[in-house]
Amino acid sequence: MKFVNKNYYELLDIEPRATEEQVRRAYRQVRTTWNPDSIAIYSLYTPEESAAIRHKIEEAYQVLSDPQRRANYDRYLSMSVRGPTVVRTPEAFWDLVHGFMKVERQVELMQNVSELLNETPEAEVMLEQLVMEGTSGGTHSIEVMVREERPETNRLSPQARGQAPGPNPALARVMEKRTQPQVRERREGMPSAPAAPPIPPPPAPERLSSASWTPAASPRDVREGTAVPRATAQELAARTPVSRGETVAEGAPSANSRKSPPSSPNVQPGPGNGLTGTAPSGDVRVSGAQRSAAVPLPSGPVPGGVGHAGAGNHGAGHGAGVPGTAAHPPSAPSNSVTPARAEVRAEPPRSEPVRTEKRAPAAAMPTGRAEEAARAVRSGVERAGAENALRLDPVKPTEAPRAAAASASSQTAIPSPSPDASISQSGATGGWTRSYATSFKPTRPLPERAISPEQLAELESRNGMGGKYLKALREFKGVTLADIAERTKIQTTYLKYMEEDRFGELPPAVYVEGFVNQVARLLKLDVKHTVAGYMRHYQNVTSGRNRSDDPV
Amino acid sequence: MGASAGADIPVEQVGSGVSSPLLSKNPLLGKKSEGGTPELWAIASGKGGVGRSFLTANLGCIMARDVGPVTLLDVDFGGGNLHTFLGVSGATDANAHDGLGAFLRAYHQGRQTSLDALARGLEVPGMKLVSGVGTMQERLSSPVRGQLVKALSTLKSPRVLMDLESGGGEPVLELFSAAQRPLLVVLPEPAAVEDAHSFIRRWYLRSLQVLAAQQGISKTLFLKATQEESLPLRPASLMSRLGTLKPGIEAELTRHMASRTLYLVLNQVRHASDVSVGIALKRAVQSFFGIRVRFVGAVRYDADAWLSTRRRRLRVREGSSDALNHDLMQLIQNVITEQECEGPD
Repeated sequence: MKFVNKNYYELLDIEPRATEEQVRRAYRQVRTTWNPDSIAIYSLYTPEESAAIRHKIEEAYQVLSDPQRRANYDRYLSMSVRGPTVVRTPEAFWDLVHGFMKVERQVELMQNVSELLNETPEAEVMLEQLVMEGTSGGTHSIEVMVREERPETNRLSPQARGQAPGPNPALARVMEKRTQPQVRERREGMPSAPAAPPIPPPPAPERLSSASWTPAASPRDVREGTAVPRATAQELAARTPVSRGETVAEGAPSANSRKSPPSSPNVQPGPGNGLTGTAPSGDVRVSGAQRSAAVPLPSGPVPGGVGHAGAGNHGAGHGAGVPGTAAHPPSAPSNSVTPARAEVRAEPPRSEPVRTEKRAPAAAMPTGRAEEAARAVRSGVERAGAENALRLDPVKPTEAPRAAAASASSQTAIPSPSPDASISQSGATGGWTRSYATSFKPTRPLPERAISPEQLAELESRNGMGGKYLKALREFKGVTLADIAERTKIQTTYLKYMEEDRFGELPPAVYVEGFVNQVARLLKLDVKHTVAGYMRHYQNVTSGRNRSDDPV
Repeated sequence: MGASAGADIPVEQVGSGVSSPLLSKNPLLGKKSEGGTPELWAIASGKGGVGRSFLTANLGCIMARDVGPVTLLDVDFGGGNLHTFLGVSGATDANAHDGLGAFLRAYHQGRQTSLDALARGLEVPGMKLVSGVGTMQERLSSPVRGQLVKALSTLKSPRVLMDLESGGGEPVLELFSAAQRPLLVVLPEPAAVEDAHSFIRRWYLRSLQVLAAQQGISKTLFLKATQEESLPLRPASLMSRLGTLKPGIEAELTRHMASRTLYLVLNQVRHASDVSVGIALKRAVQSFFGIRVRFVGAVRYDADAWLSTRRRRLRVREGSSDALNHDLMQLIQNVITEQECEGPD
């Protein structure tokens, strides 16, 4: 299998059930294989290719060695390899991009309910539905599903349990839990949803046409289990729960995803966006609302552990506090390693924008709002990386939402924001949605001052190629740290540390390289040269340090 | 799975006479193969001098002693010396009635002959040898090879160890491909590894060409596709190019090649860290070629092996050869049970 298609476990050649020690051990062994001096590879791969592979392996280890991030990644991976049960429509992806529901709330819901419902594959489907439906009849929908859908195989159905038909006790507990204060508060802040419509009969199995999705990587290997050793849902659920600070950009559509799937998707899977194209076939379960089709998640590694790459630039101007999370990752899954007459690409990985086509608005979506939303998606998604999709941080109240508002009565509309844009963690979901749906508008245009090769060489000779060089370049071009942070989503603090060579305060090298990559790209520099020079400087400075996170 | 090299006998204790628990009867190894077509083990290497024939001879001895009857076949036409390691005379005799020399004579004379009839019994019970004495390389033509492969099925031993010529010539690759257990012997040093890569690349290409032919791509088209690729050949790139010749073939070929297994044996391991070379090589080859590689053996360097060879005696039957016995026993076990050597932590 090509490296581009390998998930993190495959990269380290371990099972998903591997213990932390096994992960560390595998990492040490794999590092030995791809060591620059390794005689095992020197006549197979070029130095650039093996460097790219090492980069991917670092990425894999960073995620799998962190229990929280690994848990997120496992959950995400399990959704992608679950098989044909859930199919997502492009509209659902649209909703994900808008981020209508606070992602970490999704995770929390899934966690709680999954514990109760024994995490069968069907339960996962229902959890997803719960998440999708949010507070508006979702549980009702789930109950219907429990009762009516595949009762012979659904462990949750009363029939499967040999019980008389009736409410599922686990679901009853979920419903009760939802009435608890903290949950109610959130729910009350959310726009009121219409009553659950009559349940239509399940539609025929639906498959995204290959013409609609251009697979970046075939999900078949993933589905057929040839690519991924499957962990059971229980094993994955046994992992550390996701904390508040960690979010998962599950491909869950909005609370108002009761839409008919559009005839063609507007989002083209491509490098970096994590979409692997053809959705798995299978039944699309519908209850109360049209179930959205799931975008199969990338089998390739997703930096940060979870989420669609390019699945959404959730919120403008976020500077997430988690290393490497607010910024574009050093590499998007299918981007950093692509076969160029080989299985890996020699160049340093970079995130490429997700290409989105202009989407015809959904039937009930007001035209003006749809266009604005489309613009929002295009501009937002173009800066999305997998990490962005994972980490949703509250939008600062100063960033007023400007996204389209939709009437609550419309089943297909985006939830309407409250006028004062009450955006907070416990506030309106509309706050989250609006923050994402807002089109990104920088506070000022980026200066376009060009630099000649001679001037560049002079800066290099004067400052070396470390932080001073970056700072000098930036100042020459009249670009501020805020300009860069705004556009790249790298924290201003990190940018400052990079310029001050304060490497101990920065995330691991793999992320620093990604940061430099983005900065160089933004400043219209020779990316390869700049990254190589800076990382050389980085290695020289840090080589003498005792890195406590080094497993060897 | 599988013990790391020296797990029971540390490297520094080689020759100390420490016995290994693995030398005791193992239920898996005690089970002898049932009748039918013998299981072919082909032992090849990318370059000469890696200890291929030494390993084949000693492996055969342990196999005959602990697993079941085995026939050794020296297919190194014109350069075979498997008989030397076994203490069999190498003097050519126009009237010799055994060995591949006799087989070739019979073939050229249009006579049918059974290879089993040409196998010579050895002092090790259950072990036979079809020597390569009396053969010349230029006579191993394609028809001869075909006849030889057919004749292999007439051998009565449940297992046949074929000592192949070094390098990746067509005769070697054909027999290597015909084996159910293709073993590649490598030393943990750059030149041997590089030649192993070359061997695997040639074997891969040959296998791919055969598969492509079965899928409707002629040899001519295949060769054209390979020639259009810049060197060194990249399997992924070649697959893509073949995919342009026939839609859908890329996935099919990838799937077939992924089911191919190569058994890697690291010889003359001097340090525990050398085992890491074997593991690294396995990973690298798997990743690059998309085939399955099992790292089944890490055979420790034996400083006294040359003495046995000089005396034309099997090393495993000499004193102070516990380490070699252990390592070869482990190798056999790993191959049969599809387990692998583990590296140092």
